[in-house]
Amino acid sequence: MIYSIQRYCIHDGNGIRTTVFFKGCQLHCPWCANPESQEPSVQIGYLEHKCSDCGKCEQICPKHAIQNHRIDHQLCDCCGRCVYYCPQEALQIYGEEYSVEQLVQELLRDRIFYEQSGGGVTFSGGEATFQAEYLLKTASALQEKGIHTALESNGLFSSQMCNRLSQTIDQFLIDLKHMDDSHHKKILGVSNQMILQNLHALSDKDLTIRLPVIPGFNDNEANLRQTARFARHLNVPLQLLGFHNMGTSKYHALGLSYDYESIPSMSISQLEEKKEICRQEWKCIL
Amino acid sequence: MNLQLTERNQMFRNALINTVPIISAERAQIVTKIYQENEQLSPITKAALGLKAVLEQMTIEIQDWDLIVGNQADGLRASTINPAVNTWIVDELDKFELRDGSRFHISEETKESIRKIIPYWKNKNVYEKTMALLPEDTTNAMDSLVFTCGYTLSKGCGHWLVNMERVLKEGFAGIEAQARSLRDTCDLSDPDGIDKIPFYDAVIMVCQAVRDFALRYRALALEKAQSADEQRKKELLAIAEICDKIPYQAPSTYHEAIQTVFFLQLIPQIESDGTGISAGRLDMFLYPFYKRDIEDGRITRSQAEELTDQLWLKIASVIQVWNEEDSKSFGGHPISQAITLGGMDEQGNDNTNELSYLMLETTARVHMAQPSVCCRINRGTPDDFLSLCSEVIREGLGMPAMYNDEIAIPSLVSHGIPLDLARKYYAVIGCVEMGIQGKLCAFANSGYFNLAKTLEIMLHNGIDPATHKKLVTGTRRLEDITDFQSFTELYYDYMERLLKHQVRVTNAVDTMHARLVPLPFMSAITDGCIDSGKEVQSGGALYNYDGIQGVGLADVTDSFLSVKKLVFEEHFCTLPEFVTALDADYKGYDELWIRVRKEIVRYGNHSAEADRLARELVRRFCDTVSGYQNLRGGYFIPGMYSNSANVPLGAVVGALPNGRHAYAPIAEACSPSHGSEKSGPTQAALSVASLDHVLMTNGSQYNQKYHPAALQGEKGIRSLSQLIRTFFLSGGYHIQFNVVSSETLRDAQKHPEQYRDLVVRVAGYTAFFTDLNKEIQNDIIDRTEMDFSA
Repeated sequence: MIYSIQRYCIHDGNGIRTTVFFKGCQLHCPWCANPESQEPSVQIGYLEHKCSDCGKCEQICPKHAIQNHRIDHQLCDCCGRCVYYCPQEALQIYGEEYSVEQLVQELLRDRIFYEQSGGGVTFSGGEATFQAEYLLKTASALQEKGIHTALESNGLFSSQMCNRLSQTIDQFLIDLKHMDDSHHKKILGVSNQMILQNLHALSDKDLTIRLPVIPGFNDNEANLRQTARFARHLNVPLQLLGFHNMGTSKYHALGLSYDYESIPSMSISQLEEKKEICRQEWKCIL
Repeated sequence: MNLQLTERNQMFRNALINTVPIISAERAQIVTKIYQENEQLSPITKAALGLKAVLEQMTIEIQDWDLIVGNQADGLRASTINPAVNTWIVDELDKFELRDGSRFHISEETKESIRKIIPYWKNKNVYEKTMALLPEDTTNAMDSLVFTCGYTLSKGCGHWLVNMERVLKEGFAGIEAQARSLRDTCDLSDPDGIDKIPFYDAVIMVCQAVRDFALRYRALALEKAQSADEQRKKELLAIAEICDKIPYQAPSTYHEAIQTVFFLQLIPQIESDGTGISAGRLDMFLYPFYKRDIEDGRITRSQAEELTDQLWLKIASVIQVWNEEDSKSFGGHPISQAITLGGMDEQGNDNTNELSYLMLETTARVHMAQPSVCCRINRGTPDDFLSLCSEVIREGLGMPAMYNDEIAIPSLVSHGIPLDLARKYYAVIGCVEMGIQGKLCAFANSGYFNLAKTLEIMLHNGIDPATHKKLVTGTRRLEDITDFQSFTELYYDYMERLLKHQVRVTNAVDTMHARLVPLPFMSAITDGCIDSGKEVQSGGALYNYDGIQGVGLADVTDSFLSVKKLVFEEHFCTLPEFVTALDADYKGYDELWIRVRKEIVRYGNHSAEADRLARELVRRFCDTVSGYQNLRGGYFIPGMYSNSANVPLGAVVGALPNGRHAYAPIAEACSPSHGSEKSGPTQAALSVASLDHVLMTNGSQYNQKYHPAALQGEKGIRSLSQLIRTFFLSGGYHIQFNVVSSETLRDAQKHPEQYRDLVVRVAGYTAFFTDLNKEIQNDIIDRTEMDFSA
């Protein structure tokens, strides 16, 4: 289950890349910028600013699940008729099934750009390892064609899976959201131990540790320094990603509330400050 | 990259940005008087006398910041007018200040002068003489905007790639000497002498007039020096010394060469009001002067930068006025003075040099809509150069535009240019047109052909639903078409029949330009004219083109796909039913409209079927255009670019089978239609690259728009360079970028006063955003913005 394929991605891995977003994630981080990525099943979103109020969707919904622009998600079976018939593209469907062959075909369309730029395919999400077998099959099919692959992941997978991934994926970009396990558990509901182990195991690979800098959660000096020291210990680069609230409209589209709606996006200069702290310990990029 | 202008150039730039352009009648007044007093003389003699008189009498100025001198008319940004081509101006005198975009000031005194001189030109200007020749079916097609010849019917030929090389080597003294020696061999006992003698006399007269024009600046500089402070006095004396020598004698220093280049760039615009006067490969031609001065310690790099910056600003000061209608097709004062950097030598070796880099930096530093800077890229182009191009592109200027040598050179060769000349002298004319510097007479903008209107007329069995006139007869009827191939063949039949009208107009208008407004200055410097003793628009140049541009490629391609699927494959409706829905602008045909919008994989997603149909459309269009010879012994050559003409050309076309609503803009140039690029910038670029660009010798154009965030950092620069390389490797010819967010553009619409110097890429040229009218502004905002940084 894929919810988006984006081409000309240049900030996630080497060269010009195509990023494929897998749907479904074990975590539900409260700041998540992609709420449509969390559920493993198809969802329908409603973009109010595009809607012309024509009422077409209400008329044609076979389940009568739409009233006054509110989709009753209990009744809706995500058949997609309303999305098809919306003249304004105000309704969107998140999630599409691709076979491995279909997906590989889609990804090969940009092959010439990968070859010219030293780029390739990045698996992202959601959490790509949440659909691990599908991911591995796709990655090895690309590997056979000589396409470079990268994985953006939350790092929550077994050591056995880690081993299999390391044989088919060329580059790893793995989040480390908090060094302090109690904080990690408290906010994310899981321990960071498995993540730390996997980072150890992958440290001889092309690995970057990523710290999504979330105001009030992990942006304190102690955590920044500790994360940087851990990266130094593994001898792998650390990358900071600044919090942004650009996902707000997607929460609204899905009829969800967003705890981080009123938290302002981090500015470049704020992020530079954080980077400077980390750089006192270890090399760090933005 | 140092983005700081020197103080004098900063003053110059501020003055340009804060000066509203004006209309000047001076040139027209002087020329009119000469023509009135010399009716009996041959056209070329009158033209030479007219130019001589203008150069002798026009107001000249030296500003406090000038290191290079020369002005087009009496004002910092002043447009001349040319009533010998078209007298439209007299009808719009009171409208200039009311314009939505491309606004001008005009004084009451100027209006009065213009009203006085216009009657002389009635019935003897290019426009009226051309229109008198045209048959009714042709004017009907033109009235329906099947095509426009607005450019050549209202302005001078323009589109010259000025022969910098020859004048930098020989000066006008060399040209004059050659003309004199050939003049001496002519005699009226030889029938050719009748035309050749006045031609050579005109060339000689112009060479001397140009010398005297420079001497006027010498005198003015000496005069100003008397009251100047020590520092300025030194500068003015240097200006006087330079103008004493060049352009009559060949220059020897970089400063002299730069001044020569500006005179050469300026005088064609005074001679006629043509646009697209292009300076061509300045890095190549000026490099020897730069290198020598640096080696001999005569100049430092920063002095060279200041002079080069000033040349750019001088070029930016040149402005031209368009009539109101044409200003919609050419929004925002596009003077299209192109400079081409990078490229290769006659043997095919890349010859990017230090000046190529310096001039790119100048472009970023000066940050003006003019000159239009173009870069030639080939396999040997250094990565550093491409990388600097990307950095300048990221500055958001829409420049440089990028051009592919590997397409341009075979394309020029296919139209008769020897390989070594194509490699060395190929430069961009005006917007995107391929030219051969100093050797070509190209009526490069002989108008836009409306591919979308052609489809609409075909769908109405030859009748234009807007004018109700029957424009095409004798073809198969739509009702009798039962398969897709016959449908497209019928379209091509219409295209051929309608395009013939545009060729007729072009031949008529070219003839009138040659007969009524000969160009002795351009004839003096363009290779071939002096050897043959012929005026440049009458076949004197070595090579001769006329360019016709198709507009609406994406709309027609997508319409084909739509008809193929819904009519011929799925039988969802019949052709006449489809046309009924189009006539209703899809109102009441929701199901059809939805299917069209949702089920057609459009051009711009690198889908095999769409790309194949688009490629075929390009081929048929190119074959049709290339099938005609022009009257100067050269070719008609096809292009696929639109400038902003996609807006007015769309405004006369009803709904189309691709789901485009009535009167909306059609797709510009080779770009997919708005909102069609569902698969992102790489797939859109591959679709465009899949067209056969070698066939489009008059240039093809592709715009991409990026949000600044998509080009952040080192990686952003590298990736943009790689995108350009890949696009070219895949067969693309031209690509240009608007790097500005739609939020910024919307804000600029609301607060234009805060965005006076916001420059955007319109199409084949850049313009100040606030100089564009609202419709063109909206069109630019609507072009899909690529932002894949999230």
